[in-house]
Amino acid sequence: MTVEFTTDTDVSTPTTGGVDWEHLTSSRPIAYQAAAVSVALELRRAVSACGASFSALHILAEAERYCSVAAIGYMAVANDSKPSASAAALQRLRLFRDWRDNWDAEGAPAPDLGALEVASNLLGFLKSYPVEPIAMLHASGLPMFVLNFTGGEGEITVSGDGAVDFVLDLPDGETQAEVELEFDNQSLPVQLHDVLTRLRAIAQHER
Amino acid sequence: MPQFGSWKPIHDTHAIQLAAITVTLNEPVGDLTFRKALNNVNPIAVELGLTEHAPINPQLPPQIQQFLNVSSPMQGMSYVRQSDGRIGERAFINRESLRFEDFEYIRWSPFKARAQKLLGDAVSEFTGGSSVNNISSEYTDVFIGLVGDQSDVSEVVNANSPLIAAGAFHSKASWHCHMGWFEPIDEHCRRLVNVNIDVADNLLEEKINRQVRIKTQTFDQFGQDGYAEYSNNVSWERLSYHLDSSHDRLKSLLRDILSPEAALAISLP
Repeated sequence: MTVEFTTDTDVSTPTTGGVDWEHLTSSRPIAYQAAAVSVALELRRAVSACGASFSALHILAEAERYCSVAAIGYMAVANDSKPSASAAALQRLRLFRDWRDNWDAEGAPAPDLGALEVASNLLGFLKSYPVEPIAMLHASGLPMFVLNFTGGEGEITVSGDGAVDFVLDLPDGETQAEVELEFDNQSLPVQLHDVLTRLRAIAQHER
Repeated sequence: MPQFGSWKPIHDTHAIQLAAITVTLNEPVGDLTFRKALNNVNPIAVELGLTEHAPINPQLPPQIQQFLNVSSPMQGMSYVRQSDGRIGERAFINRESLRFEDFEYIRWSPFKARAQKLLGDAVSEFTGGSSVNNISSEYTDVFIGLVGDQSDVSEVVNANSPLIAAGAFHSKASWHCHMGWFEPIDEHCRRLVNVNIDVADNLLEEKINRQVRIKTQTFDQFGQDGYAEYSNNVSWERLSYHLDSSHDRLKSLLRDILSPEAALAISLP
């Protein structure tokens, strides 16, 4: 990935150059200050190679903001090309809020708004596990997630009182299921956390 | 996709590219406290999925090193959770600060809960050896122009917003605006508010990719400049109150910056 920039040594002679972003990301994680300095040095080298001059102090003063803006720009473009599974699931949950009674043409009730809120919060905890949550709506109007993961699949359903049911078919052939688990919006129910942690361990072992 | 005019937020449901919480101490902690905190944080980070751990040990070129005071071989530890090859979440535990970053923000409640789980014990450990200077909350919201250099910035931000310098604003050119001020919170605490707005034209495949980046940040500062110090160390429970208060304040700041159409696109009430 090359981050391109343009700098004017004077108003009539714009100069272009580039910073090799891979040089920074290859040494991830990197201290913010060190990253800004690395960018500054690359900027100065690139500008010099173009036959222009640039104040080192100006570079260092601007490097931190440039590094931040360039990083945001790079990540914004990267995010633009590929939304995360959790972001896609969140969007579907938002869409469900506008659905009315009989949304399935078979008499299903309108989605339970309280349950949608709980599902949205639950999503914030699911993203750290190797599962792809697909948000769906049960015929009862309650939200659920179909979980796709390597070697298995599962479902999590949120009930109207904020409780959670789940069933997961794990890659090792075992099925884990629990119903009516309390979810306090502060952390996953212990049983769900434990089985997803086990799934993460299986996934890491297979890598 | 919540497109509005010639813009869209970076995500389909919101524009938050980064949410972060930082706790900064008055003095760096000693080795024993630091190592004890890391021993507590390491397994919690793994449990939360931040499985890539690395010491923070900047290797700077000699011509830069001479100007920087790097007195210890290990300044901190970083923790990363990758998501499809990108950083999903990241945390830094340094000798005088603790920071949690979320690049996949979903909702405030799980974000704050995960930050508390990761940093709460470390904060308690650190305030045994130092004291809290400030706790910072920040959001970076990004909007992407869809028609290159013809994307009109006035569709995203309110040109008449009191948080935008009138002399800086331009509808179709790059500009930057920074504002900062203090707000009293209580007898112990004042809040520094920062608003940074960047309008940048990034080049991507030889095309202009105009973006509006809005960073809103608060620093709740304790016991400074005439504000009374707490008799006890600042606890996570106390910090939690400030986080919730800051969250509401940051939302109101963004509301004051955005156009009605942009606010609607990201469901900002």
